[in-house]
Amino acid sequence: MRSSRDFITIILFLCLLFGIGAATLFVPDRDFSQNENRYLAQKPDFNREDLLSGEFEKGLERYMSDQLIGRDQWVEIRTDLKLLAGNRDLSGVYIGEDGYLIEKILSQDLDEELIRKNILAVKELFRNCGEKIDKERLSFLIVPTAGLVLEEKLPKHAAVFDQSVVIDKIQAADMNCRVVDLRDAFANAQDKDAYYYKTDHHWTSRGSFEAYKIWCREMGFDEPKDEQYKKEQVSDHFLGSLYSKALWRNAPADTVELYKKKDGVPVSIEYSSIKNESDSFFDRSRLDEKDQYKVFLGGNDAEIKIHTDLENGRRLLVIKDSYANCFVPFAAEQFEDVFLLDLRYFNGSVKQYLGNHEITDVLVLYNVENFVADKNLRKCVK
Amino acid sequence: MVFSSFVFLFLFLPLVLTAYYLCPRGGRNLVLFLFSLVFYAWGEPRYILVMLLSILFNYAAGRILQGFHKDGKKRQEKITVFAAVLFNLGVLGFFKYNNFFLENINSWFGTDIELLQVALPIGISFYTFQSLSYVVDVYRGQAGVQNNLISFGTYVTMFPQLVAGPIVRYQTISEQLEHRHESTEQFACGIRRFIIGLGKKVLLANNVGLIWDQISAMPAGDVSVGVAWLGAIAFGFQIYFDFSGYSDMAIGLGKMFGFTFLENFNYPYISKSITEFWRRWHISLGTWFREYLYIPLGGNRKGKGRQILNLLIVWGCTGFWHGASWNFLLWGLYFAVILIFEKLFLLKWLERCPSVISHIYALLLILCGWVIFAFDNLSQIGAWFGVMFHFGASQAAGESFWYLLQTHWVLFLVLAVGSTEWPGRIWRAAAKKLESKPWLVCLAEVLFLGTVFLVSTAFLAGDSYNPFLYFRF
Repeated sequence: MRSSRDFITIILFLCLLFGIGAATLFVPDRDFSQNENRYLAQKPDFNREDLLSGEFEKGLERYMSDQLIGRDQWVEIRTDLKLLAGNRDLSGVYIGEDGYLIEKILSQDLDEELIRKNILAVKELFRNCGEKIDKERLSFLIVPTAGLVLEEKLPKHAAVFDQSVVIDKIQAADMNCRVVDLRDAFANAQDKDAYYYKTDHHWTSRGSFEAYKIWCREMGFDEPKDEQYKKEQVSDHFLGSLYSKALWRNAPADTVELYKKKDGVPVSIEYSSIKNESDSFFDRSRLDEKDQYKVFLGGNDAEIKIHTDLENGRRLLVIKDSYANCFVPFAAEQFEDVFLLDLRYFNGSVKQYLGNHEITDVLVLYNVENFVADKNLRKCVK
Repeated sequence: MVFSSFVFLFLFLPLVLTAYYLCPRGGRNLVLFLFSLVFYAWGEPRYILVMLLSILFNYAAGRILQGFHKDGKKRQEKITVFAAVLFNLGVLGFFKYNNFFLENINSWFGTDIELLQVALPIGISFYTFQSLSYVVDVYRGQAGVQNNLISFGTYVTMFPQLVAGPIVRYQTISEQLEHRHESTEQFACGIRRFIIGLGKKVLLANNVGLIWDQISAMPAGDVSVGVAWLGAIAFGFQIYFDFSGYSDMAIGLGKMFGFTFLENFNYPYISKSITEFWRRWHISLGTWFREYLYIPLGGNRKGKGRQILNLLIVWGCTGFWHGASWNFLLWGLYFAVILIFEKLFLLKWLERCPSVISHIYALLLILCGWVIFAFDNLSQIGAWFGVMFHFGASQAAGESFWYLLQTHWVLFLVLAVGSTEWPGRIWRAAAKKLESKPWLVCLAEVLFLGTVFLVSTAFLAGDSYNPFLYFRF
């Protein structure tokens, strides 16, 4: 019996080694992982140079890992086991109460010098703008993320950096503009759970609509009302960026809602990266993709120009991150033209842009997490 | 290449096993030698030359020693062995310690000698020590000379123990190099051992390592007393399960190819004194230093004073072997001092203590040792001790302590139990009880090992964190 036990051990082990190895090598490779929302490594080229530099070896290791047979299932098993063992953060994402996934950014991850520089850059931008534009028309919307607003959803005792400290610093810096602070309104809102997606790091249409109301009040526009909008649910199976990090199969899928103004003016939208113009803020073809947040303005583009049928001569420049994508559809209804610049991709001069497009209003919109880590903000004083 | 990677598990290992067992017995050493060279060259091919040179040199030294021995030329034998030792230490010194010495010379004398741009070849400390053991064993007549260059190359490069030990002395396997009998029993045994080691590394060490990484990255002011202790404990568990996991994998792989290596770890954390700890921790290194340094220095045969000096030298070297940095030297001397006290009187006291007390004593000292080992910056070590023993104004526990404990208590429990003999004992007792139902034992074993292997694969697939801790050795 002893020897048959040995045989069984050996045969099973060899089956696993050869089986998994052969399946990984010979089953056709995947290009893209929907689940992880990234391109997967392919077979590396074999040549002398890469072999000697170690590049080939690294490539082969990435390849074996990315194309491992049944990769998605392996990864999900790992997540399940980690959660079972009591773990509450996976790959930099907290698994919070009610299925909320919240990014784990600790105070030790912050670069204080970068934060200081970013504040100075925005301040400088508004100082430049202030030479031609009335200060009342300059605003900085700094949006707290779920890590602050939905703090109570974090796992017990879990730490995140204090976004309030950053917002306080901005408030104290005399930014040469109106700093719109959403903290109190968001923290006290009854339905704040609905302001953020559970599986994505963005805010929802609901959240940005609340922010829009506050912004309108501060900027002197008529405050919009809920009943002016038609809400349409366009997806109930959105698994966002935080899902792709944590890869937790039991994550509750999000719904995506679009808000449309009932008597909205016609618009035309030009993208720097796409030829065709569009007449809608929403690109529904994106709902078939993994990242359904791209439904808002088709995702991030270096430069987006929106022209409305409104003839009030006001032209808004928005310097922004992706949080603006679902805010701008609201804000656009107040302007004749809106120009969006994403400094991660836009490399021109913002100063010239201001003059060339006869900008009358400027909005800087970032969420706190992006603001503290963004290395492109210095471009806004170029 | 590391064992805990898919390239090793699902590509290299199937290939080497196939080639090895398809090859007639006479060519098997060559197969192992060639595959070991690929294993070593993987990702960093240029240092293979250093290793080949070292193999040739030591092979030649063995042959020359044998020649002089036959002719009865004692003096020439001495000179040859001296030259060989000098060469091996020289290689180690050049690749591992040059920058350490140059940096210190620069800072002491204000000179500005340019540092050499040589990276440390992986495993160099292991294979130079093995080569040294060969030359000295041959000189002492404790092992016969190896006339076959391939067999000698196989000994030095053998991939199972090449990059992280155990340090196999030549006399242990000189016989096996020529006459070994691979058997199903040994192969199956090797598989069991390998999977256990893989699980220790991937499931336990890597996960507790994440805790340590997170804690050691905290700004010093934020670390509470509890977190500092948790960090030291996490590091202690990480290095034990990582290192002994590697040794298990090495021993297991050795068995698959018909080799029997000596054990390298024997439940070190159940020790009741530091003397006992060092008999259970990294046994192959301790044995090496005893055989090739402590005893040649005179050991304990030349009086108390000389023994104390010998202990300081041996443990200083042992510490320094772990890395070219002051903290490793300090770590070795720290243990030297404790060992000296234990030899002088402490051991007798400890034997009379209740075992709880002596156990706590040993664990505390081991933990403090890990703090010295973990930071290569002396002021960081001081700061960490300051927090652990509450010299500063740090909090007692704090939120992060409770968070780490609440999310990782299962892991810590498994680690603590896994550090003792109990899991092995219980398994053996259960297997004995069920002797009449061998299929049940077989089923339980297959299920357990299969689960460990599959779950390890799952963790390797999802984790980007899979460190190799011995790059400084």
